[in-house]
Amino acid sequence: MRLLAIILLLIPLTLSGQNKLTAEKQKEILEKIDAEGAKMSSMQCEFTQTKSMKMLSRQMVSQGKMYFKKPNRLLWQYSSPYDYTFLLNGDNVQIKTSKSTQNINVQENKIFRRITGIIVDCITGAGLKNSPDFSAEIWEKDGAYFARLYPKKKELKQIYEVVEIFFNPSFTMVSSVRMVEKSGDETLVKLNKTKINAPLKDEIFAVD
Amino acid sequence: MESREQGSVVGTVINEMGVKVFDFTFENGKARILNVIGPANRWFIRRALRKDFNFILAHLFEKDEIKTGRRKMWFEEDDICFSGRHKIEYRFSPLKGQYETD
Repeated sequence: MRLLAIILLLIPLTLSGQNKLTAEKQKEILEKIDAEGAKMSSMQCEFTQTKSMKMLSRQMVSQGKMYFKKPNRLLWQYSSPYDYTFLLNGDNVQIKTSKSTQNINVQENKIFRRITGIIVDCITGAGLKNSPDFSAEIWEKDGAYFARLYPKKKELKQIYEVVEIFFNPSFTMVSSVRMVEKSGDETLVKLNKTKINAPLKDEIFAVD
Repeated sequence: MESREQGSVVGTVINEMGVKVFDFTFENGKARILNVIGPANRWFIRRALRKDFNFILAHLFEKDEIKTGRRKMWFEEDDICFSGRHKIEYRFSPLKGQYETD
């Protein structure tokens, strides 16, 4: 009877095709991700963001470009279906739409400080090892590894159920990020045409 | 936002980075606010949103400026603008872009 229960318990994991790695293997992978993240000084890519909402039958697709330069410069720019730019340059955040521009000092705004840190960590894969915001597990599916992040802090737990970060085989770059919200909505961001450590001009991150 | 049977409406408010703020439904002249994002999930916020959305969704397809008490709705080009109590303003702009259907 006990054997039957064990078999029944194992079946769902096997059928889903996803396997959680052993603690030792997870540690090894996290070290690799961390090491590759440390080598990255800049990153640029195009992205496609698909939002699936439980209330609606349609998905929403938006596209744009992302530029990142260590230690703390990030330009996340949507071009379709709306113009929207999120710019982080040191302590300054600028949010720009076609109709308005808003400047925020990250040091004065705890939530923004955390959000920008999380965005940078998710995009680069760095900081997963000892993240104050997420507990990380490494899983394998169809030969590819991905990190499953569970929020630790109350504010993030209220929004996200889990965040999954998918890596390329050599862990040199993130290929996609999937965010599942508490409500069941999902956001999938696929990165493509990714360039690592290509020179980026500081003017890209200039705050108006 | 989508129309359903018998004139009801369902919708989701998300920010540009895809984070949902809340869902809403509008049926038989009444709005319901659902699944409000954690930090905003307070009874007085839900109440303000419900009252504002009751007004907005009831007059969504009218073309003239509407004013009732402290609530006012008007149109700028393709946008629908609304200002309500507590100095809250909304602007609804039609999305010109890509959608996929499940």
